[in-house]
Formats: sequence, structure tokens, C-alpha cells
Amino acid sequence: MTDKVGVFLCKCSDNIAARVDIEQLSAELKLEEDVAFVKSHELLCAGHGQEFFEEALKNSDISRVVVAACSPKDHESTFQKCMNHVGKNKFLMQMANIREQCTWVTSENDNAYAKAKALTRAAIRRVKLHEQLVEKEIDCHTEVVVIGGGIAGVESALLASGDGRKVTILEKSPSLGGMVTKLEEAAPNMECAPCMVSPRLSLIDENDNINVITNCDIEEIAGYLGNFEIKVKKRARMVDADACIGCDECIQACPVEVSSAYDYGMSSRKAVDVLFPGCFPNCAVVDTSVCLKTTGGECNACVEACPMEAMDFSQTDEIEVLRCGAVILSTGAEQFDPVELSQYAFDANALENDIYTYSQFARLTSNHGPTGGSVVKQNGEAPKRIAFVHCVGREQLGYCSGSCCEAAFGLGLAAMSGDETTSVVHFVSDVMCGGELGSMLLERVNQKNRTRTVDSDAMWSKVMSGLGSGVQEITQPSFMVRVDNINEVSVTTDNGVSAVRYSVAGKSYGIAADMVVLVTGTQPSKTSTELMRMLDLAATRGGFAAADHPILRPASSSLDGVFLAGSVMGGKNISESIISAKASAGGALSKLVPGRKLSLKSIVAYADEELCSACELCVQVCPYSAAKIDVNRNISVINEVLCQGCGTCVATCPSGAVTARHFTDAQLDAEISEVLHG
Amino acid sequence: MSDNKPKVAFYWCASCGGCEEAVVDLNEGLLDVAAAVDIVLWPVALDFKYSDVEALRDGDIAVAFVNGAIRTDEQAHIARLLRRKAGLIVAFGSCAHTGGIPGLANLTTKEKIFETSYLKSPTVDNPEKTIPVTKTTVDGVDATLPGFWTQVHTLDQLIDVDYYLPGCPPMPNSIVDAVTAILEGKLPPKGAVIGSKKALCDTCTRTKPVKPTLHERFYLPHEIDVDPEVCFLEQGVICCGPATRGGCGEKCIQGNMPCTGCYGTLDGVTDQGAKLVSAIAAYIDGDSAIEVKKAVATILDPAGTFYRYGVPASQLFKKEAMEVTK
Repeated sequence: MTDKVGVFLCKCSDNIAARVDIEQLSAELKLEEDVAFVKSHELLCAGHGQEFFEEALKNSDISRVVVAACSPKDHESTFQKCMNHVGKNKFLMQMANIREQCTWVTSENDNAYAKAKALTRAAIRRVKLHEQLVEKEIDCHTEVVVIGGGIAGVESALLASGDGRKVTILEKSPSLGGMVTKLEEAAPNMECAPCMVSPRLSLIDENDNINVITNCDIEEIAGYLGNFEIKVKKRARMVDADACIGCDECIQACPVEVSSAYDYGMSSRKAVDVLFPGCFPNCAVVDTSVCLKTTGGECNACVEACPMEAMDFSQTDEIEVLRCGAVILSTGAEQFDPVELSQYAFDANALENDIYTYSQFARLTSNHGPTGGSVVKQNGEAPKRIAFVHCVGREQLGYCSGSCCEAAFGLGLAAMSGDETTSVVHFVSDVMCGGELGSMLLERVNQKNRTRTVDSDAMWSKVMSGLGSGVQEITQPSFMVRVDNINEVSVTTDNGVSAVRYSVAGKSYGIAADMVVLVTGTQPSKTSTELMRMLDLAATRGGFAAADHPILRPASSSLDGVFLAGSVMGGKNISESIISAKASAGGALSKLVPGRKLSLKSIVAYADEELCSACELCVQVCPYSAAKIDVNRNISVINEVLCQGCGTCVATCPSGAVTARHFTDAQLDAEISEVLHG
Repeated sequence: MSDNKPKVAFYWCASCGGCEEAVVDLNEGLLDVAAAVDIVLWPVALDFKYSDVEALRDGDIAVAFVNGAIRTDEQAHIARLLRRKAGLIVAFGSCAHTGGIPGLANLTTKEKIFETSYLKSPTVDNPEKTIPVTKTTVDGVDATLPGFWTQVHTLDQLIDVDYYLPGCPPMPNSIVDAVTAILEGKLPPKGAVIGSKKALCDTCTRTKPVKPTLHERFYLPHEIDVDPEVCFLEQGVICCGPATRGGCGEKCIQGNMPCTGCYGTLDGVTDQGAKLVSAIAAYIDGDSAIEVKKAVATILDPAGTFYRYGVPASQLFKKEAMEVTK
């Protein structure tokens, strides 16, 4: 083996040769001490050019090669492949860009020649210092873990398990299904939500490749594409899930009643209960924080009532460690809490005064909701007018959630399907309810609303008189009022009738309504935020999980191997959630092929432990969370699987302890010095 | 004076005298050194003439400790003389090592320095506007002054240097370690800087944040109540520790003052200031260029902060450095 360099000059037809005299350059470079040979070719990237390149190297003892041709973006990989074909290390090839950076940027032949010569000589100096990098491969897990069992998690699990892949779904609550299970009819086309979800849950049940763990919390999660480790705490159910058949004998027998969080406090549930009828798994769960038996009291009612002997109070919380190759994060979002804003009268008495959030209101439309699906006021009467106030929290959140308009119009339509005298009015600023289905929904709400006449009985006039002078009632409101400033719409309430005050075209108005629905924005859920923190995922300004690229890679997170599905990325309707779920599953499937190893990037950074003082700056700047401090050794360790070779830590490291392979200071210095002083 | 004791020379170039003080600070230790060696030149303490040194055989001095940067013909002359006469040259202190505080003068010009010092200073009374020249004739007698160079240089930009003792000034324990190593012949590889291989952070006992906090602005130590237990950078005070060689014993840190970088850069880093700038940049918070600029604007005197001891050694002056070497 010689240390000398083989140089190839490409004429690129006339692209290079017209300005740079290749014969002369060849003659000059041949005189260089470090150069073994100089060969020129008409079009090195063409088939015959590549053959020429490989033939010249095949039986030679040359290991280091410079190709003076086009941009490495064009053909670096071409000649790297050629190097591999002839058994040479591809990292011992360096390209000098004498086309884009020389002949294409000047009409002066002398200048082009001088620069081509300088760049080629610089490449020769540089390639002499190149290291033979090894391309590493690692084994990877092909299993997928889906965190969050809402509709997005369910759909991504179904797709990901399609080719026999093992998938585990982790769900915090006792049942899969998520937010969709709380709806009766789902906007925009008002399809029966339970009818959409139930068959999907059945498919999960039948699928041997999908393992479901509900009623669990994630204690720890860490790793990278091909190798994640997740520590899961399975909370004790106190019910043998295999034995329980989901009858409600235990529920009937249980003497403890508490407020139902699933129904947002609008109904009560028992200490042993199912989340909703038809839940999955169809199995009761004991709330150990309120159960008499688990809080030290004397009660055995459920145990005695259970015909299957399924109650098992010997259960304790269990820890399970899962390993997988990819994670799909579908932990959803939460609704903005209007309690923070006094203008909506959403105080402790809000329910009594028939003021609801739209999540609460959705439960009123549900057949298994607190009113059995009838939209009625707290006093049991049908409402005459329901006012939907949109964009609640938009100003505080700082963004439009994008999915609430459609859901609210859907709820408005559902509310009018009951009593014939109920009308709705939506207070809006911008309407985000587009597309063909969205437009059809708006049309349906409008048409239905037109059939309603406004009843002007004494109830209204009483409220109207309280609104003060200059305020007039609109007797025949359209279903939608575009207000001047949605943030200034306010709600006051008096004896069961509320007034919504707003202004249009600079004039103040007020109308009475006997039900008010606050259409609240979407904010990141606490679970999502905590998982993002554990995985060190990039967040959007609003705190949602950020896509790796919002347009090109919308279902990939900032960490390779973690995919995003549903509202964890921000407000989404059901179909958008499912699209992102399928995209996530596709991403996971294409990355993790059984039997195939994961090839790692060779051009990565590493920290020299002799020089590193653990100042943590690399940890701070690394966009891929690849740099971590080994606290025992007090040094930084850069994970070569996570590192993408961007070089940010190299530039930042104040100790000069971090080096990027293939871009070492010595290599760059040799190249630059040759150009400047050569 | 016995001939079998190793001969040692101390010399000062462009320096403040602090390095000499550091030698005196050895206290009783100085007597041990003085007993073990034969001092042949030490302008600040003993009365030797340059001609005494010139009379020595080449290589006769075992080791010459040279502090201060190089700015005048005289300093260059003696440095070259000592190189000839001494087996080992130790660049002593920040100024000889990287240019030090006098090196900040490279940010202005010789002409401006003369103008300020000899014409514009409020205490100067110079109606004839006399400024130093290398040669003048007074009453028929030629008088000369050493020439004042256009730039300040590090010692190794002028002569070959064997070892570096960093610091402004070097810590007494470092001096003893260096002298002992030389006297006992336990020499590190040529070109070594006596100090830690790692940055100051390695031995700093302040608590580091799990993840460094981003700052909207920076503070001078007197502007906030600095918590003596917590990393300065975490508190928004610029500390040069991450980019500065350790081994000084962290006296400043223990005195609740941030590191100003006098031990210079680490092996393999070519520009301490540039490294500091990229390190500090990692602490700046801002969603827009305007916000980042606002934060940067709170760093008063960036050159003096990031390049306090290293302007002549920095990449910024590499070209000038190459010229003087030629």
C-alpha cells in the first residue's frame, strides 16, 4: 500500500473542460510529491466513466483517491460505491468541486483554472489525513410500542401489527378508545362514534400480535431507533381480567359513589366500575383511592356479588420492562380550562347555571352519558336556545386549535335533533371548518336552525332588561354570529338564564340563552408533556410534540424511532388523527424490517475522555439528544446511534474534546491552509 | 557561586511585574530554589548586566524563565539571546504564553497608543508633541531607545519555547512543580503546558445544572447576588472555565468570582475566544435574531471578555504572527 493519492479529473463533457485545461492541470498535479497518478476522463460519472475509475484502482496499491469533478452532492455517493466495488474504503475518497465552484461561477478561464488547481490540491492534502471509517450495524428490536390507546393509537397499532409485527398498546385509563368514546355522533359527517370505535376495538381483541396494557403509567422511557426500553407500572385492578366478564354485578353491589371524571363531574360512578359500556378490555376496575376495602374499611360487597369470583384484592402494582424498536406516541391532548377566565362565569356554579365546556356538552349528547343522550338543562327541561362561544382560551394559548369549530358545529347539530324548539347560535371570529365535509356540516346546521322559531316569552325579556340600554335582542338569530372580537365575548348569568354579550360592527349586543357551551381550545396533555420530557423531544411553541419537519416529516418526532399520532401534535379531528396514525405506523414498519440490521452513520462525533470536563454544553446544544453526561466518569458520551454528525457539539465544545469523524480540525486545517497558502 | 549548580535566568518583557511577584510569593520555597540553582539574570531583583549573559557559553544556562509579551526591540533581543544561551526556555505566565493583558493592545494601533500616552492623556504636558523615536541627537550626542513594534507577540511567535507555565500570574504550586520537574530531569514532552489536560469545570465544585439554563441577558458579578454554590454560567455570569485549562486551583471561583481565562486554551484548541463565543452562544435564549442580539448586547466588552489574555495567540492575529516568525 502506498500513501500516495490517485487523482481523477473529470471533464464533465465541456462543463469543466471548456474553462479548465484538464491536460495542463493533469501535468501540473503529476509533479506533486503526494500524487501517484492523475487520470482524466470525459464523463467520469457515466457508466463507462465508472468502469474507467474502477479499472484504474482495481489492481493498484492506491488507497487514497481524489475526484475533481462536480459537487459531492451530485456524485459523492456514486464514487463511494465504486470505491466499495474495488474493495477500497469509501471514506478515503475526497471530491474537489471544480464545476459548480469553478467553471460555473466565472467566465475567466485563468481564474477557473487557478481555483480548480487550488481545490484539487487542497483535496489531496485533506485525503491524506482521512481515516478508514468503518460502517457499523446494530441489531434492532422490531416490536412497536404504542403509547396512548385513543383512536390514533388503536389505528396505528392495527396497521403496525398487519404483517405479524408484535405491538403493545399502553393506556393510562382502564380502557382503550379515548376521547371518541365520549361522543355520540362524530363531526363532520355525524357518524355514530361508538359504531366506528367498537369494531376497531374488536379487531384489537382478535389480533394475537397486539398486546394491550391498560390502567398503567410509564415510569421511564429511553432509547433510540431500534432499541427503546420502557418501564411500565401496571396499576393493580383488583379484578382478574381473565375471569371478569364485564357484567355489572359488582357495580350494583358497590356502596361507594363518587363523581365521574369520565363525565366531567356530571354523573357519579362506583368505586368498582367500568369506564363506559362496551369498554375494552371489558373488565371492571377498582378505584383503590376510594374503595372501602382498600382504604381500610369493612366491605366485601363486590367480592360477594361477583358470579365469576373475579375480584382479587391480593393484586399489587407490577413493573414490566418492555423493549421495542419504535415508539408511536398517541397520548392526545387536553382542553383549555375556562375556570381561569372570569368573563365566562365558569365558576363552581357553572353546571347549575347550565354553562358547559363543549367536552361536557358532548357527554349530554351521548347515549351512555349522564342524561342518557337527551340534551336537557339541569332542571330536566329542554333548552330553548344554546349559545356556543368559540375560541375560549385562544388568546391565552396563543394559537387556533384548528379542530374545535368542527366539533362544536357537530354538537350544535346533535343538540337540535332532540326538542323541536331548541335553536343554537355560535359566536365565532374565524371559522375553521373547511373542506367538502366541513362545508356540508355548516350547511346542515344552518338549515336545521332555520326551521326553529325563536320563542320570545317572559324569560327572555327578564334577561334583556338586565342587559341595560342600547342593547337589543336579535329576534331571529342566524346560527352563526361573527363578532368583532371573540376575546371580548362575555357570559353573565341570572336565575338559570344566561346572557351572552358581544359586539358586531362596533355596536354592543346581548342575547339570552338557557344553555351556554364554551368551545375551549386544545392544549398539551400532562401525560404527553411528561413523556416528551423523558424522551427529550422537541416541542412546538404551544408545547405539543413537534414534527421533525412540519411539512415533509409530519409524523416523525425530533427523535428517530419515535413517531407521532393524533392530538399529541396539536388539535386534530378524528380523520386527521387516523391519517397521522397510519403515517406513524408506516414509518415504524419501513424502519424496522425483521432480520435486517440497522446501519449506523459513520460520520459521527465522539468525545475524548482525556480532555472532556463534563461542562455539559454539548448536551445543551445537541439537537438529537445524543450527548449525555456519564455521571460516574464525569465525561460526556456521544451515542453513535443517535448522533447525526451535524457537528454542532464540535463547534461548541470549549475544551476541543469533541471531534467529528471525517471532519477533524486537522483535515479541515490541511484543506483550508492549502487553499490559502498553497 | 558554584559551577555545578544549574544556571537559571529570569527575564521580564512586556509585563506588569505580577509574574515576578509570583516568584517572590514562593516565600521560604524561594530560598530552596535559590540554594539549588545559580541565578545568572534577574533584572527585577539582582544586578546583572546583559553583557554578563552575553559572556556565557551557548547553552550554559539550564533554564530561562521569560515572562511578558514581546513588543520592543530590546525584549526581542534578550529573548533571542536567552534562547541561544539557555537549554530550556519556559514561557512564564499568560503574557509570554498567549500575549496576556498587553496583548489587548493589538486591538488598536501603535499610533493611537502613542497619541493617547504622549499627547492626549490629561496628565501629559507635551507642548512640543514629542513621541518616542528609536534614535535622536541631543546636543550632538546620539540617544537611542528600543523600537516599539506595531503588534504585541507571544514569546513562541519569536523564539522556540520548550514549556509553558500559564496563568496571570502562575500559581506558586505550579512554579514549584515546574522547577522541581526541571531540576529532577523529569521533563514533560516539549511544548507541554504545565497544568491540567482538562478544563476548569472538571474540578470546579459548584453545582452544575442538569441542563444549562438559557439566558435572556448576562450579568457582571457585581450586578447580581452570586450564589457561591452554583455554576456562574447558570446564573448568567460569564465564566471562562469551560474553555480554560484547569490546574490553577480555582482561586477565583473560590473567591466567588468567575474564571477570566488566564490559564489559556486546552491542547488541540486553536482559539480560546472563538471557543468561548460558541460556548456562551449555547446559553443564549431567543426565538428571533432580535432577541438574540438583545442578549448579546448585554455582554459588555466582548473582546476583553473572551480574549482577555489571548489576542496575540488567537487566529485573528495568526497572519501577523507568521510574519514576525519569518
